[in-house]
Amino acid sequence: MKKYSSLIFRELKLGRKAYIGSFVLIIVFALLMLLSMFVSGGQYVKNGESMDVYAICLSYMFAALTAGCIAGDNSVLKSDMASGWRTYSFALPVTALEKTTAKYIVKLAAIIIGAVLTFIGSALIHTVGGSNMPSAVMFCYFICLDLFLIIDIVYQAIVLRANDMKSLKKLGTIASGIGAVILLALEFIPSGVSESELETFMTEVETASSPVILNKYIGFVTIPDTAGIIGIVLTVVIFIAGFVVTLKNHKRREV
Amino acid sequence: MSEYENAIEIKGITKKYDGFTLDNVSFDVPKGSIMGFIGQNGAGKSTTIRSLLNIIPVDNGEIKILGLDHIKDEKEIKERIAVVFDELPFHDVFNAKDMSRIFEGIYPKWNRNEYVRYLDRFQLPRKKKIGEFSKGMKMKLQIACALSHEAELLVMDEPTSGLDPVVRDEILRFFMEYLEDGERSILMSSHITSDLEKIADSITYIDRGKILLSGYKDEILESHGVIKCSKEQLAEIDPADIVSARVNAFGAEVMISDREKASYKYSGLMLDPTSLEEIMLYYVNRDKKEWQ
Repeated sequence: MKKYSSLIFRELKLGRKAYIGSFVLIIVFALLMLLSMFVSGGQYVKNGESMDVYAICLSYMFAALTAGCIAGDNSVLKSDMASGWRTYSFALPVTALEKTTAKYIVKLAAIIIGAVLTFIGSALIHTVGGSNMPSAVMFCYFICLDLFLIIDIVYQAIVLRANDMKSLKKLGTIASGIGAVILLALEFIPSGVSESELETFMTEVETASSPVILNKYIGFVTIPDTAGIIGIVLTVVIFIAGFVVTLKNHKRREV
Repeated sequence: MSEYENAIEIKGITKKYDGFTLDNVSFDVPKGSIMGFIGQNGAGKSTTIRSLLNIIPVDNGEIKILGLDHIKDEKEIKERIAVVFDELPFHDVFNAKDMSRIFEGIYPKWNRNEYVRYLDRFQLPRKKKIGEFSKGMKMKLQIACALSHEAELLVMDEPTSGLDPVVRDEILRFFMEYLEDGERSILMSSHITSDLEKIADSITYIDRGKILLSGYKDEILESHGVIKCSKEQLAEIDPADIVSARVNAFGAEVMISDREKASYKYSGLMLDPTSLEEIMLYYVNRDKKEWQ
């Protein structure tokens, strides 16, 4: 336990700027949304003007997206490689499993805190605005989280092959490029949704009694409350896959 | 805890890269001694040390550290040894106090009081960020961390590289103190041979991935010498006795590997003692036989 305490201390000290920055952004987004509602006196919500509520829902998605980005933070990995700690750590009595477990404990804590903050914000908006936000926003959070977890896995798999600063920079650029391509690709994949279907969907967002997934790949689908559970299950699977990939990478010695 | 005669035993290590091969490297570091591992840049010193620490896997060979197998007993070995690299591998955002917090969980025998004593002796600030340390301070911090968990073996890869003579001397004195109880050992690679001449008990010389010399430092220095002669006299020296010869317009300086024999065989010639630096220089040029 003492060893994990030390390793976690190291991870937190190195990654704290990124984590704190992300959490602050989440809170700022949530507060801005709440502020805009209270400034208007909640009138536009009470009037039932769907576009206003829709705008609030969409806006809070940014908070969810920010929270999801936390999972993709790889600043500690880059620091380790740049400082020479990764090489030095092979000379320490720390196993690959211990290193990976400490990293993922911190990651899990960040994910849980992000989820809680996202949920609290969406629940507050739900309470004031009367929209069915929490499930939709949480699902959005998990989808974003999964995406960044996948990007992080890809990034690690590429960057951990670097053996010196020169190759680290080169592989880091390639890995960042691939991450950017994955994100951009989402914009260009056709949704297969017509204008009228889009308009219908927008109405549904505000009035549907069930959570709605905003998903360009599977179309606009109305699903039951299990959407959140599906999101959690998918996240757990990807999280475990990330753990396995990271463990494998930490076991790999230099060439 | 295992009993052992040699802190390090390396037998027949081979590691192939494109353009470079660590070829059948073997040497031992006796318990309680300092082994100086010398060679020019790119000779294979760091590759050997990384193989020893299982940072890079070897193609062939056997390595034992503290009498234990370097792969099967890796965790136990690493709890009992300390490593110092030429560049500080700690992140700039940490301070000396943070490093104690990190290492006290990693090393079972971490001694915080000992660490604080070293910080005081090295005059290192506890709360200043490592990124603001000078090169000498960084090396001292790394050494303080290495000496604070009762390590039986210190493995160092060019620890005094880039340091000024005052700091180097100070660090070398700490290494001598470290060995006083006779139970600890040091393997130190360096191309600064003057440092090793001061403190090493034995020397291993590696060049282009091959071990050229390995033995007690004094024996190596006593067995080698430099004959100063004219070019005509150079022709009379048996080539089998010559490591290599440095020739210029005024004459020749010839490195021989058996000084005692040469003192009888070439009694008419001036035969001088040599240094590790000269030995390195002449052996590097051994293929040329005559060079300038």
